[in-house]
Amino acid sequence: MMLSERAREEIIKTAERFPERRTALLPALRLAQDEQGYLSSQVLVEVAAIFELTPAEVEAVASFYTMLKRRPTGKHLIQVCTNLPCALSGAGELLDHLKARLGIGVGETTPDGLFTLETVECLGSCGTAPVVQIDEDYHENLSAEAIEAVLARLAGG
Amino acid sequence: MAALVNLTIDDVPVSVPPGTLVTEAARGVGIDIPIFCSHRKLSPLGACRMCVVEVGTPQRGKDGQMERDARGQPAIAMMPKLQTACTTEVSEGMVVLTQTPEVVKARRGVLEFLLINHPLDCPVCDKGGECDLQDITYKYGPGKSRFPLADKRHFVKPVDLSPLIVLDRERCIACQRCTRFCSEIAGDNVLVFVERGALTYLDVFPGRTYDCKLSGNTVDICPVGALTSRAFRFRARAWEVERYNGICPLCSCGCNTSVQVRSGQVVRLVARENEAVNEAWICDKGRFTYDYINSAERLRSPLVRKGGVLTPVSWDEALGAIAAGFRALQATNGPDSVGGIASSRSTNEELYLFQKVFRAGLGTNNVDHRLKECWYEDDGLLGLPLSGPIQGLEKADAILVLGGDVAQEQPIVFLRLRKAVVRGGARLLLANPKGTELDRLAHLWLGYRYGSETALIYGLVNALVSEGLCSEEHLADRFLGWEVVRSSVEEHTLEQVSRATGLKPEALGATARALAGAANPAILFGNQIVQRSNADVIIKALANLALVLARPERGPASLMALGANGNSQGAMYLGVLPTALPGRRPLDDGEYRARLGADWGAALPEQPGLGTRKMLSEAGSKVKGLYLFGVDLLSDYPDGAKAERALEALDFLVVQDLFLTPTAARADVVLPGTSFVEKEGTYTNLEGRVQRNARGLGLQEGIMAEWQALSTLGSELGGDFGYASPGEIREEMALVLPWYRGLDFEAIGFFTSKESGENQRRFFPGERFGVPVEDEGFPFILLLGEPFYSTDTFSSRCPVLGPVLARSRIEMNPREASALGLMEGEVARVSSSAGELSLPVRHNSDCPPGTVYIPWRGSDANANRLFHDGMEVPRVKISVLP
Amino acid sequence: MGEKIVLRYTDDPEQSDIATYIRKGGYQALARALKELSPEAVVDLVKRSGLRGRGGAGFPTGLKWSFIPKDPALPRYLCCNADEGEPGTFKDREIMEKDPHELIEGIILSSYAIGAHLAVIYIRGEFAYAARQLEKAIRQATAKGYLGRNILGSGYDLDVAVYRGAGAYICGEETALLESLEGYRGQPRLKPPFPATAGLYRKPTVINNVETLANVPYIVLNGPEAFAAIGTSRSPGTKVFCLSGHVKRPGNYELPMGTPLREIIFEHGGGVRDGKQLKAIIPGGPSTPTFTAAHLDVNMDFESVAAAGSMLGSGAVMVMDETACMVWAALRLTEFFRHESCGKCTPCREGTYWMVRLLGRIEAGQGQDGDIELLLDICDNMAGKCFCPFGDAAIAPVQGTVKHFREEYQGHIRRGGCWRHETTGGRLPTTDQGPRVTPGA
Ligand SMILES: Cc1cc2nc3c(=O)[nH]c(=O)nc-3n(C[C@H](O)[C@H](O)[C@H](O)COP(=O)(O)O)c2cc1C
Ligand code: SF4
Ligand code: FES
Repeated sequence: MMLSERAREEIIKTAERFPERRTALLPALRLAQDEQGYLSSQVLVEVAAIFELTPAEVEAVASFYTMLKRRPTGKHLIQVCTNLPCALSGAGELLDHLKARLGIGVGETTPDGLFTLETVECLGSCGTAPVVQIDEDYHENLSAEAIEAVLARLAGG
Repeated sequence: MAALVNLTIDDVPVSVPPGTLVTEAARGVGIDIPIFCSHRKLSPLGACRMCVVEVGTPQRGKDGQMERDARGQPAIAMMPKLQTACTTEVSEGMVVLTQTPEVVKARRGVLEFLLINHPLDCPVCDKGGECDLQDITYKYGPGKSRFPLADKRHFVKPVDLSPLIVLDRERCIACQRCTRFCSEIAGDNVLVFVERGALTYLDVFPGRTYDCKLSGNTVDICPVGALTSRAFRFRARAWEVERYNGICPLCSCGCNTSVQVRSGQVVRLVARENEAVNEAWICDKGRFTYDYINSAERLRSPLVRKGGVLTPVSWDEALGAIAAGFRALQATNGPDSVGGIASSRSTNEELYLFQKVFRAGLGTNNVDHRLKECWYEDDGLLGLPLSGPIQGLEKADAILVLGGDVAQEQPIVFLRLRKAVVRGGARLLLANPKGTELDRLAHLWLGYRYGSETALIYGLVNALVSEGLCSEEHLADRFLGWEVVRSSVEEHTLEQVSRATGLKPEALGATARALAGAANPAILFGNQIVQRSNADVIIKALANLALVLARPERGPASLMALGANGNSQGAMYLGVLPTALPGRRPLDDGEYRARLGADWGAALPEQPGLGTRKMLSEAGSKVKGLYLFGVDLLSDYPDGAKAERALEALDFLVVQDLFLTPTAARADVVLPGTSFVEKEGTYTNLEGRVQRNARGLGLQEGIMAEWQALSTLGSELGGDFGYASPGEIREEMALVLPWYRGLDFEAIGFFTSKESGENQRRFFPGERFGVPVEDEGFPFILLLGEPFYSTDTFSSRCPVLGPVLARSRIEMNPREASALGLMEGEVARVSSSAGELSLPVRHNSDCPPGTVYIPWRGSDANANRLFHDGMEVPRVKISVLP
Repeated sequence: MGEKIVLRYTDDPEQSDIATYIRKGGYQALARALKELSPEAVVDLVKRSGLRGRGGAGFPTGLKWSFIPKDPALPRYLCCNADEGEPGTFKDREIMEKDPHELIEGIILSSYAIGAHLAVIYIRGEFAYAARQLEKAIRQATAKGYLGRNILGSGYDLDVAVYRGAGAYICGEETALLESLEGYRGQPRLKPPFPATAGLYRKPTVINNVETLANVPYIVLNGPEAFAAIGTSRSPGTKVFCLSGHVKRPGNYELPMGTPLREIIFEHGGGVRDGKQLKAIIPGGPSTPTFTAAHLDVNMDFESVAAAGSMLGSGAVMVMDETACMVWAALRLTEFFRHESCGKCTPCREGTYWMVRLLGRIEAGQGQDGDIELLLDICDNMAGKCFCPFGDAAIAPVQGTVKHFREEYQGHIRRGGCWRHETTGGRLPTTDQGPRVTPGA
């Protein structure tokens, strides 16, 4: 899949906003990922060309950041924070519940391609632990029941 | 120079220039500070933490005065944390301690960390014996590991990064030397670290290879066995090899190498540091082209054609046959009926002897070394020093490169150019008929129409004059012939130039301004000039341009020839030319000739000889016998058909080479040659620097060194050739050739001729204004070039190079190729007035419309089928195969 | 409850709207500064207020600004550090989501003070909502003439960009942040040169935390004295304490600097949950050494916490009760550091890996005699020897827990595992001990 013309324009616009074009590399990768779900090698090559970088340079950057995915994930990405404050507040139980409920382990995707389950380090929401990030949204003070409702909604729509 | 900075390291006083790093200062006084990530050619990184030391600086009071302790010594404030010596610059009064318990513990700690995940497979590691990790652990490391084996991190290995480079990720210590080499030195950025933390590993982009002409250098600088050479893998242990100081003969840079030999075989070549020439780098061609030396196909005995069959004979018999053969021809056809062509990859000693055999032994000036390169066709150029220091390029602030693909042809010069641009901020002005790798560094790029070089050059002169960018007064005053040039310039208006070259007048103006505005302008020209039939005309124009840029305070712009072979400069200096005597003197300098003749004990011929081109044209008529010294004429002469005809027409052919080449197979007498590793001798690089190559391998049984064969032949011919060693030849050169005078042969290696700085005092009269002619029948201009991995007698016999050797192909502008319906990889027929070839097409947007590119000698076809000597600008047509 | 500054209005759901913000006195500080104060005068005000960085190190903000070279020809930049990655910290997020204009106004004032015309908010990638709130605030402020060209007719121009990170804790470290911002792997840079002389694009740059900058409007509007009147003399002002873990009411509490830990946990946080006993406190985020119940009377300001053997850090107060296993907690936090180590320097890259394996072994009941000493020695081999402060942070959990709870480590080794296996079922939220076999090719 090629980068859309719109994304390309957006990248170039961002690049021109900063004194050095390369500043827009991270935003570009994010944009590409938003559009395609993950960063395929092909899209990295395209992004590299926009910035006049080698694909390897782009790969080096992309692989450094955990939010940038080099492999496709499910339609919804469930990220359970397991850092200490969340762990102290039941993140372990929540994670176990999710594993059982979805029938997958951490790093895996449900066979229907709907959910990918991941653990993450602190999401910056420790006052409302445990917290799970699903796609862009935070779900705070989560209990097993509450996550059920969220999953049902996502599976439905 | 700024005052030195004084400090102490472990109580040893040290004085070094400001800006020196503590590691360097310590090295200077023999104090060892272990390092991994630091490398003197790379920017300081401070990542491996191996070099930590304690550092203190004098305490200063509020008044800025140094405080003193009770004993009146400066009070030193030690920094609370250990510091990395590799990133710390010295300062006045600094105190560095490298042996304190803190430092010792920290070193052990770092080593232990580096080793926990290391595979510890030293017994099977190529780096064993010359591994920094091994050596430093041996010296400073912990004696045992506290890390459970089962906990080690693993990577898939080994990984082929390219056909040449193999990676073992478990051995990698993430020092970033290789990646910094890629980004800082080579500038290719293809080798990177991916992922992060303990997972970090080295990689190339998925599906690609480590495609770089300098990749082998990463093997040299890798402090562990992570990066290894495919060619060297498992061939020898570091301590088993003998090391010799070699000079790479493949291109005109003359890189310094360490030739490593085990059991009579060359097992590898690595870079040897020479700041002035190759710094710490060599290119992959130089590094990996050596297995031909070990080849079983090497000729092992002289051969003489008997009953139509080349038959092994003794050296006496073969040399006798040569002397007799030449003498017989001369007896009936005169002295000039024989001639010799020597390879410009030969040593100075061989070249000197070769021309001496012809001049003093056979009494003819029919000697040459030129095959593709046609410069110095004109005696007028003899006086020009077309060379300058490679290192000096770093100081140039505007560099014009005309007609050269420097990255392909002289990668080591490419590195200096890159440094000049990236670090020195030089403006690079590129004028090429086709895009090259250097383009991305260019400040201005002039894509001129091939064949219009002189127009371009005089266009620049015109712009300099009309914009008042040169000091006409100074030029008229200081140099002869300014008026002629000036008036000829007026004939070439910028508009005319623009039409001829296809360049906008503004582009010419901008280039002229960049050159005129420079304090240190340099002009370089490459193979697209050197290998042209009218090279002399173009070079004279360039010499004029260099003069026009002259300023009273610094003289003309420097003018440097790139291109040609490993010892082309030597061949010219030593008079392997039909119209010049050794020492760069014209043949018609009677006094000089007489003196040389007296020294040689022979009357030297006055009659100008024939050059390669003419000898081949006259083969069978005036010229009946040829001696080809290391020359595979059929493959390497640009006009293949002519070479073929010439060999056919000759009465007597002698070939000396390492292999039974197609040319050698046609000879009457074949003499085995030796490789540079088997030679003791000197080479002159493009700077005019004479460098000594040490012999690393003894001669195979039954082989006579070239110098000895030539001496014997010379004596046989009745000359004074009783040399006992190459050293004696050098001594004679130093005695009889003014240019070599004072050369100390023991110290040789870093010698540059004192006379190479001769200055040009006159303009060449304005020359013909080159305009490419159109030809309906052959619509495309044909560019021929030397690809980096060109196929030749040597490279084709190095198995490791097999996958990388340049494939024969025709490169075309993608749009034009598509218009002809030629897809990438499809085979097309390319024909010129000389001949035709069928080649796969490669789309390359570096080719401007109307121009196609073909490498001279690809892996499966030789473009010398398409060229003939009469072509100034070769033209071809491309047709789709039915 | 004493005076609040940065979280004063965050309870108002309308606060993020510019109209509400202005109604409550917002952008008055800006108007005043642009009309009445020279940039130097703003720097001076901040200097006199005694404001110290809230990002962790507590460096005096005014002093940091004054390091920017005076040469007006040099471009200079302000970077707002909104990477908020220190586990247990969630204060910047609250400010950005609920009162973004406060930060924007602080950024404009600070940029004016140092003469920057481009300010970049580097916000951690996960904070999508906060980023949207900031974007909205910037649009609103621009529409009202507080941002963009010729702000309020003063002739001063400023562009503020929101720049989203992509998941790397190390990018909170200021030089790694700059690398990331320039489009590279987020690995720290060699210092010197310091950002004040060669920061973003190698130009003079100030990097300040969100909370730091959000204090600036208050200082400009109410004067440095009003600010200095809050908190302690050497740590003036308020601090947002992020309370998390085993407390009844976790959350952000903005309190005067120097508020005792006991008050934070028991008065504001409502004490330990479920009637359990307090066991351990991490006072300023995992990068700071652990406290115990014996430290409850420590006053939470830079000096007092340091005197008690830890650091105020980002103000993330993590509370653990008697059910928490200290080996497990140390393992969990060290896993975090292993996961986030950038990999540039040897001791951090390998040390965090090794510690995780060792802690995992002890927690799993396979610990051996000498493992505790080995752990401490690994810490010692990292301490002060890494490229950046991350390495020192990464050893805090182990050093802190071994110091106060050594017997718990010994117990693990002696009895072959964690006592929680019996008491609580011993659920480990994650047993990811780091990469073993990675594909590579
Ligand atoms: C590993 C590491 C992570 C850091 N993370 C953050 C962070 O997330 N947010 C932050 O404001 N400062 C962080 N800092 C501190 C910054 O480097 C820097 O000191 C701070 O942004 C300066 O702002 P201040 O003076 O306003 O506190 C971190 C430092 C280190 C060493
Ligand atoms: S301590 Fe070293 S590896 Fe760790 S984050 Fe800093 S530079 Fe990177
Ligand atoms: S050599 Fe100094 S840190 Fe690597």
